Amino acid sequence: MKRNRIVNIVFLAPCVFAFIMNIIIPFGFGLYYSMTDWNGVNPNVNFVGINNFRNLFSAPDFIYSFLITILYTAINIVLVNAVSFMLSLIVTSKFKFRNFLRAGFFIPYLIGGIVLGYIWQFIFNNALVAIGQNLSIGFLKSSLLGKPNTVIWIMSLVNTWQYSGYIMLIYVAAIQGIPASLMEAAEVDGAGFFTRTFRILIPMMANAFTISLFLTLTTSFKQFDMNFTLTNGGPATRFMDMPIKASQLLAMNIFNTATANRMAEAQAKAVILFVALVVIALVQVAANKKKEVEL
Amino acid sequence: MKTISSFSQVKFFKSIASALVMLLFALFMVPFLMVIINSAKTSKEIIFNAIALPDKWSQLFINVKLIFTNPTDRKSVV
Repeated sequence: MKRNRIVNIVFLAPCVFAFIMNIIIPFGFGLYYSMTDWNGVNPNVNFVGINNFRNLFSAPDFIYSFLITILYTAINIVLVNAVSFMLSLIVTSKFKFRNFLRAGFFIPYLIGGIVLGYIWQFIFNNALVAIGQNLSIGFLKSSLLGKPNTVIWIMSLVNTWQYSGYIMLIYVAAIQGIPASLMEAAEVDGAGFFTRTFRILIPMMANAFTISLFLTLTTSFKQFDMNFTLTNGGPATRFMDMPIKASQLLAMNIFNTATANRMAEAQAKAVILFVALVVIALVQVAANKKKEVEL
Repeated sequence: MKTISSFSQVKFFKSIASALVMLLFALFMVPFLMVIINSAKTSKEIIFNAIALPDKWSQLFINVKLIFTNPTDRKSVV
């Protein structure tokens, strides 16, 4: 018994050590620096308590970034999951090229956010503008990325294009786990496509929805790479009588604050991002788990 | 007669659905198509003829060669 305990500790030690060194200690340092006036360079660090946090709630750029990130996440949750579910229905149907389509829809996920940001930037800033000018299509004559009220929707569209193939695979696995006899029995009983989908398929896929919604929520809330290359936070707009960047999500706001040598302030923002993400994700998972039991 | 009519109706809707699926797939592939087309263009062509086909497809080989001859790009590739 004692020998087993020693073996367990020996095997567990490297993982625990790595976890403490990579997660716990940096997190502790981060929390400490969020309560200082450190600028990233000066070796003199003064403790300022919760001043950084208090200042954030009156900073227009932070409030705007926070709100726009919530909006962006909400749009993505709906768009990505609706498109992914639709794609999963297509690739699990009796469609002739379903395997080819499955591979095709998944390909965008294989490209990194940086590269796809530049590709879509070219499409929206050059290709679509050229089409708009040649065909005299009013709303395409200028870049959709240059308009404060459309830029978030465009970012969500690009995010949907990238992630729907990945989320589709989770739904495909869930659909394939449902016994075919169940669907056939419903079909024999006269249930149409929509009845089968909404009364049998969706309730039986509840756990897949929990995972997919969680993944979409967390990836959208932390979005940085695509935001950086597609818009770099632009265009400019006004919020609380202050000029701010219209598409600067929270992660990018933290990055810009940190690179402006306001490390402590950036760290405070990161702590708020972390707390908000944890709270929202826990609420979402708890709500979905409850729904799973009901269904 | 009714059976034949409903059969052809089902076939019609299946064709429409297939066409829509292929259209969706084509839309998914547009960015990749843009990348392939632009990889065979010069910088000037990309800026001034964003949606046009390349003047010379042989430019693709010149661009690929550049990746392996330009020291910075070559280092990144390696």
